[in-house]
Amino acid sequence: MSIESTAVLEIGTSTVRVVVGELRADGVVSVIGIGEAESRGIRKGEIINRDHAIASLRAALKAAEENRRKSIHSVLLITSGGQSESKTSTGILKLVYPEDNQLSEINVDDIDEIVDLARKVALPESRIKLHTLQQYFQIDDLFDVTSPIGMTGEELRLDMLTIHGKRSTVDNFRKIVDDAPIDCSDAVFSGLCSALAVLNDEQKKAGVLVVDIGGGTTDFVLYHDGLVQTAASFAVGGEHVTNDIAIGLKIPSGQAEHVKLRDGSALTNLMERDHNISIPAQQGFPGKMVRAVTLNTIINARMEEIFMLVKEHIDQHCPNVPMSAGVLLTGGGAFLNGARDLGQKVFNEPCSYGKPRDVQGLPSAKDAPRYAAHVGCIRYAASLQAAEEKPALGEKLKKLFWGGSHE
Amino acid sequence: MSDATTIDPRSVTAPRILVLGVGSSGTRAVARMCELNPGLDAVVIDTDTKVLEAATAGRVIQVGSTVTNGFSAGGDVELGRQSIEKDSSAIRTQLRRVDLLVIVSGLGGGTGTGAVPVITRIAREAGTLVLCMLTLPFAFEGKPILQKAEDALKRIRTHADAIIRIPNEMMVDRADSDLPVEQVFARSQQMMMDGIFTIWRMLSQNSICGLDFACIQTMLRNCDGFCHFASAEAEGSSRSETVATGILEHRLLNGGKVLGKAAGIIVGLTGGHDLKLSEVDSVMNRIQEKLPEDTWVNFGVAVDPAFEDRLSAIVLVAEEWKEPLMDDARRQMGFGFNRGQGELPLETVGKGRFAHLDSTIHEGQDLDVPTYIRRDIKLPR
Repeated sequence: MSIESTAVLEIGTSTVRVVVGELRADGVVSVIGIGEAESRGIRKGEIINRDHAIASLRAALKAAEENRRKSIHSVLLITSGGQSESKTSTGILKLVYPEDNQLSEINVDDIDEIVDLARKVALPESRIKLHTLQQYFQIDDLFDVTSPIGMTGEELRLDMLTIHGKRSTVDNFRKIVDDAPIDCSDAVFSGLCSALAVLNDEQKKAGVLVVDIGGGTTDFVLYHDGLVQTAASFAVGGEHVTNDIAIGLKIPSGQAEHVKLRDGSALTNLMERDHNISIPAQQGFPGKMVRAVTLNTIINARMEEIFMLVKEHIDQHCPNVPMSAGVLLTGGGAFLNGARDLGQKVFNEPCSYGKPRDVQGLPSAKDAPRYAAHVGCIRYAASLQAAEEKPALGEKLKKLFWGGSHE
Repeated sequence: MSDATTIDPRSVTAPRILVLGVGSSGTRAVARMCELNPGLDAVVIDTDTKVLEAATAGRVIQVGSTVTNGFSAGGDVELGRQSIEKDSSAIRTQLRRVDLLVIVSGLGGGTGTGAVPVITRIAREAGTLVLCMLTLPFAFEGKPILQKAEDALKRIRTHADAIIRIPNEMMVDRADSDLPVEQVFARSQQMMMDGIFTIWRMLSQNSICGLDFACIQTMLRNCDGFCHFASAEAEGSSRSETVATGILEHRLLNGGKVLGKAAGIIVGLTGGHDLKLSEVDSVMNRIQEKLPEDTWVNFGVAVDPAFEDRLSAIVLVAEEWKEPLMDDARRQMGFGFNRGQGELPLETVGKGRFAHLDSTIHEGQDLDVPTYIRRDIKLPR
């Protein structure tokens, strides 16, 4: 089996990034090309200027092609799907037929059938299905079964988690990729990708929350028992922090971004309280001195709200799911001083930065979390390919994912 | 030197006030205070062993024994700073469980000027409320010394909750040309003592009304910088008149002009058991006449048997309040508390670059509007 390299594309609010990589036989993702360009024409994860967005996309593609010295024909699109949400649906299969009137053993065909049933989810016209992920089986009154093959019962139920995004957003992104022109093979939810990159099976079993704070969106996925419990995305991200600073301190947003990265902290620290920060003059801006406490109060309020949004969603949709492996932060917006400590405070769980595991060829270990979604997407693509090539492996993969974005 | 960690069981629940004299002038002032009032919880800090030996009362800490070898810092601010940093752990020990730290020092020298900024920072880190009473040098002491004091003030200001400046220059006027020098310095010491005693009395003795630790805290937290301070004392039947006049014409209040601009004021009165309502009333009225209408006034009365037939008053005036930045933003946003019914915020100020996009509404809140505006968080300036 030849290893096929995959190109993945993320059109973020701040950066457009193309990463080409392959999953080697030993389970290590090898990154062989990276192309980046400053993102223009995107706000809060949605396109506001198509021409600018296409130009940024082409620049990133070109950079990746030069980096890899090979042209890219097809990409996998990572999207946060314009406020994605998740929904659980249940498929029910009667295992007992009136003719034979006896319990039958559950076999692979039954599983295939119930998966097909459960995948059929009615969504409003404006939503598009991104993923359907298999949850627990239930055999009669036996709950939380993960692999029921060989068991017997009267009725088999299967819960499916459907992650769905806004149709217009996803379609628009696919369209600009098609117009680049390049073939867009699939669209993948970015939160799921990040989780795939940073988590190992043990963490997924113990329960872990992966929060990907991007420029314009925050995506998160909650795992427990090896299964995705819930996932969603909010159109709030690092850019909102910058915007808050620009408004609060009355400084240009370029300066706000700079001061956020250099001096900002998500915690209001008493020690740093009266430390003064100078914001240098720029064309049309006379320069300013601000107190660290002012800056940090603004950042703290926004970051805490972002974490609270995630926490509220989780408390509402799947309360009391243990997160023994803690909270992992990824994405550029999480790279703020104190974001980790604030996360720990809000979630009351150990919080750390999620670094993509088993990956080679990233520019630096420090920057690795920025590439989490891309690495995860390469893993995802590889798992899909494997499923097509070796259908016999299907059983294993059922545990992981089902299907792509196509309905 | 007594152990700092043993606390008087009575003061466990009461807020603990520590008076800290720094440098030679601070040490002398605090030592004198301790003599007059042995109940005061005081620590003195200096580099000069000579000064420390002379200070008989209170706890004594010598700092920088390796830096200055027991001599004074000799007017070198850098030496003062180094001395305190070498022995900062001793200060930290003293600051344990202190709620209000009053630092008394004279700026312009070496130890006080160098050490106070460091001590304020340490206190801030320990979460203590810091009130500094600092004397500033005379004009005749020369430009460099004045400059040194000014520089130190700036540094202290970043960490102290409130600073009370007592410029020596304001302590004298032309009529005082015959005054012995000793008395002039004694006068500024006296000034500091009055203030500290009254605050201490207010907080630790039986105050009958008003002023408690929270008031002082509110005031200090909000005044953000420099406070003005004045005190007056009188005896006899017309004491209330004398006290009121004394306050209103006080030198440190610039002849009462400061009151006209006051944003917040704490008035503390101390009298004996014979203190009458009419007396309190007349003092308060006289002071309030001078104040702008919207001034935040807080007053307290303490009764001390030793003050029989006497009345003493202090005022602590905060000039500037931290105007919450929020208010402007909210006014622009139309996010006021009293927003009229059915009125929608038409202005999109506050959304910045997200102004013309689909807004992200979550549970009735527009997430594009900065969180601090929606949550009414006051931005400290």
